[in-house]
Amino acid sequence: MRRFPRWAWVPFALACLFLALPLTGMLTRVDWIGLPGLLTSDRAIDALRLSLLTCTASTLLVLLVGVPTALVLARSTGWWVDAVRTLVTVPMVLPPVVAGLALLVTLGRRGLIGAPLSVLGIQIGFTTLAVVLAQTFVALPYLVVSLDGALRTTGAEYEEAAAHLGAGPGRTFWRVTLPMVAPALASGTALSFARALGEFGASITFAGSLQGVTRALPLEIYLLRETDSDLALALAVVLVGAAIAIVAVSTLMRGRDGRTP
Amino acid sequence: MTTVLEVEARVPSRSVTVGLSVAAGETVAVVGPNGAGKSSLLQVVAGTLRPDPGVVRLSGVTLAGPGRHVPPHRRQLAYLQQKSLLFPHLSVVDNVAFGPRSRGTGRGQARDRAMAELEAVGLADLAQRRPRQLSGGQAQRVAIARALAVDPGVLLLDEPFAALDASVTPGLRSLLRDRLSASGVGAVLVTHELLDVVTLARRMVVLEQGEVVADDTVERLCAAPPSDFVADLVGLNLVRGRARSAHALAWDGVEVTGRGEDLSVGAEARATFSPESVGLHREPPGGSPRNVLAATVVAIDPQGPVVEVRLRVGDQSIRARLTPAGVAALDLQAGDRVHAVVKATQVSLFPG
Amino acid sequence: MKRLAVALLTVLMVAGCSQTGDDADPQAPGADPVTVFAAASLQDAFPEISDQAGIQASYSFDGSSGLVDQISGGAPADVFASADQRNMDKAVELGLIEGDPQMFATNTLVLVVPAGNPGGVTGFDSSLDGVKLVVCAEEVPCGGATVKVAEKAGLTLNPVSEESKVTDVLGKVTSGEADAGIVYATDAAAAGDEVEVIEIPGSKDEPNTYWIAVVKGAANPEGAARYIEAVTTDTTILSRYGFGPPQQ
Repeated sequence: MRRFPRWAWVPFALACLFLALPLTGMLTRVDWIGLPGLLTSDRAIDALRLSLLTCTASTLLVLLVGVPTALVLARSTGWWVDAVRTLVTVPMVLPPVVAGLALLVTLGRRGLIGAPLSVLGIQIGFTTLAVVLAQTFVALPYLVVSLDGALRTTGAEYEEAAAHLGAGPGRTFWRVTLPMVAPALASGTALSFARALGEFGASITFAGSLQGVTRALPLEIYLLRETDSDLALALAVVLVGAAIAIVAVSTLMRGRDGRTP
Repeated sequence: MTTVLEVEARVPSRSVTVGLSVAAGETVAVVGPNGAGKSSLLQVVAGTLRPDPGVVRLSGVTLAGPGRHVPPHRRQLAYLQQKSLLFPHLSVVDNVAFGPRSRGTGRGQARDRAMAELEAVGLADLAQRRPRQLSGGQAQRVAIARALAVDPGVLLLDEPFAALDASVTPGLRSLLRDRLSASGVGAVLVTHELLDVVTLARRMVVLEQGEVVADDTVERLCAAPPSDFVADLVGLNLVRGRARSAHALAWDGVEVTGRGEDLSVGAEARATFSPESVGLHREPPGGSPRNVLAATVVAIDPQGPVVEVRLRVGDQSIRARLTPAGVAALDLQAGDRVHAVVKATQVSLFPG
Repeated sequence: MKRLAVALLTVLMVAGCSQTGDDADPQAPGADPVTVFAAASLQDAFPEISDQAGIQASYSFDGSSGLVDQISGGAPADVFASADQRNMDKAVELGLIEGDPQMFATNTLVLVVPAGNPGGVTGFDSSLDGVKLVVCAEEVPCGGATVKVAEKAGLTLNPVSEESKVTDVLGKVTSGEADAGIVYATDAAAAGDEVEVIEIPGSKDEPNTYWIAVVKGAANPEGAARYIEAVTTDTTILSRYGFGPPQQ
């Protein structure tokens, strides 16, 4: 039996068109024959390599910081938990430029942390590290939010059962907690990676844009749009492909999550 | 017999004050109404609740005491709950081996032990299955194996069969009894089921409103329930009064005659009789040594093939169990005044 | 992708706007607003010019190449003002322009340093070697011009960043992230006291040129002509914003 009114098909079709047309439209403009050549050009390889490198680094940072953060949030109670939960979610909804500004006033040469660091001779601006930090900033929430949710629903009772069997907090974390939220961890990691791949805002304010150093895929596409739209489209296709793959993996993982008893 | 577990604890936040000791190889049943403090008792022993003040001693080791609190994972005990809580990402055998592994046993040895425990609960052939491929009864049997695989000093059982289908509980009860006696492990069994108590325990502790109100053998407590709760659990009617003679007690002008220990006149006394032994009549019947109690019908409650009629006699309650035809013949309704009749031979009398 | 999006947007805009076209007051045809698509660097000067000339104008400011994309996608413009010759040429090539474009201003590159000159830059010379220098990427007009003036001065630049937008270069100088940046005189003028300006010798010989033209199929060609007249005759406002006079 249909569980919705017939007219819902109309907005449904419109929404599908609205979302699919720009993407397919872009695909029709891509120079498919020249694509391998375009993607193996110096600029493309530099941008792809830089994106892969920085996103891998930032995703590792996200895991390192985000997993314990989610654990503390999910297993604690008190007014501060909700406050931190809000704080952690905010970067998700910030426009890129605002995120960039926020990082500038913190890590920039005249920033809260950047100024003392710069006195010590450490400057983050215009380095690959700046790109990694910016990506970590915007990607961290995706992991924390999805893992926090999974940890809360998976419940503490299995952890308690493990403790009664003699497992200390460390062993319980590695052998029970983490394996039980593995699907959410995988999908959260994939989403974080995808978000890092799209990071754009910080470069405008303080990371800069230099081939091979700070000019990751989105910036290269933004710049190439001015002159070499073929290459811009080719790189855009790479990003779209990566996005589809990552979201598919993430959806698949969440599906598996649902089947776990 | 040596005492393995000793508990003397107060938990002011839950208004609980309990004392309990378990001898080696003994299973003690703990019963009581909801909120009486049964779970608090288990949590204090398991280490998830801190007594204040209190002492928990297990096999000579002080687990909790003044300035001392051993965390749950360092306590040599096992905890079996309603839910089996098998780890879904581990195979059955790895679930059972989890405890020994966590307590420092080598991989191979832990696996051998796990297989032996699975063998003992008859599930060795399911060792490689995932928990989601097991039935509820199988999962709980694995949980029993998992609990005993850690060689616990004491096994805590928190309504271990309450979540299971009635068709599998009898088998599980006898399995658990066999495993307990074979392993010689002392156990504390919290339950609402008389069958659990009778099958598994020799001793019963009754908790009411955070305190131990009785602690005796199961037989004695069932024969002479110390409280309405226990009488309910056993399925008997319990009335209290003062002794009129060596074989009769009375309250509110109602007198009940029975058999049993001689009562001393004027002392408090209790009488029990089963709901099946109670007959109801519109008119007072004559003849034979029978007790006739003036009663008011409070409620009529069909329970499968029988109908339970709840009655008020003076200021106490009793139950009668009749056939539906009997109830229909009497045309009973709540509020009706009737005569409840019990043969004196069906009534047991106790002092106190 | 962009063109398609623009086309979609345009359809929506035209649908939305046709209503007001029908309702326009027939008594005052001269008051029809002129729709001006102009380079982003003109967004302060142009409204002042139209105010002074008493012309009602509605503006859309964006990068020149983006504007060409939008007009070719069917966006309803009367006037197109480009910040470089290349994009105006492109518009002409695509047949988007009515008549000949006119040059109406020039813009020259200057060196800017944050107020106080923390990097100790002395000029467009080797003092730039040790400092954090930010320039436009070669792909965009200001970057192309930067390469030319550097060649002319015999200077090899080692920038820490090559930005897509001249405003991003300026932003990194005003925020103090960079010690020096190469931007247009108009951008330096807009930044006011936040930056110190150092002239680049020879940059006036290679100015960036600004062009303006009527868009083919303009809804208001008379208004467009009057608007262009106003922009090209009086250059006092443009010069106040840092623009140079058009070249002869």
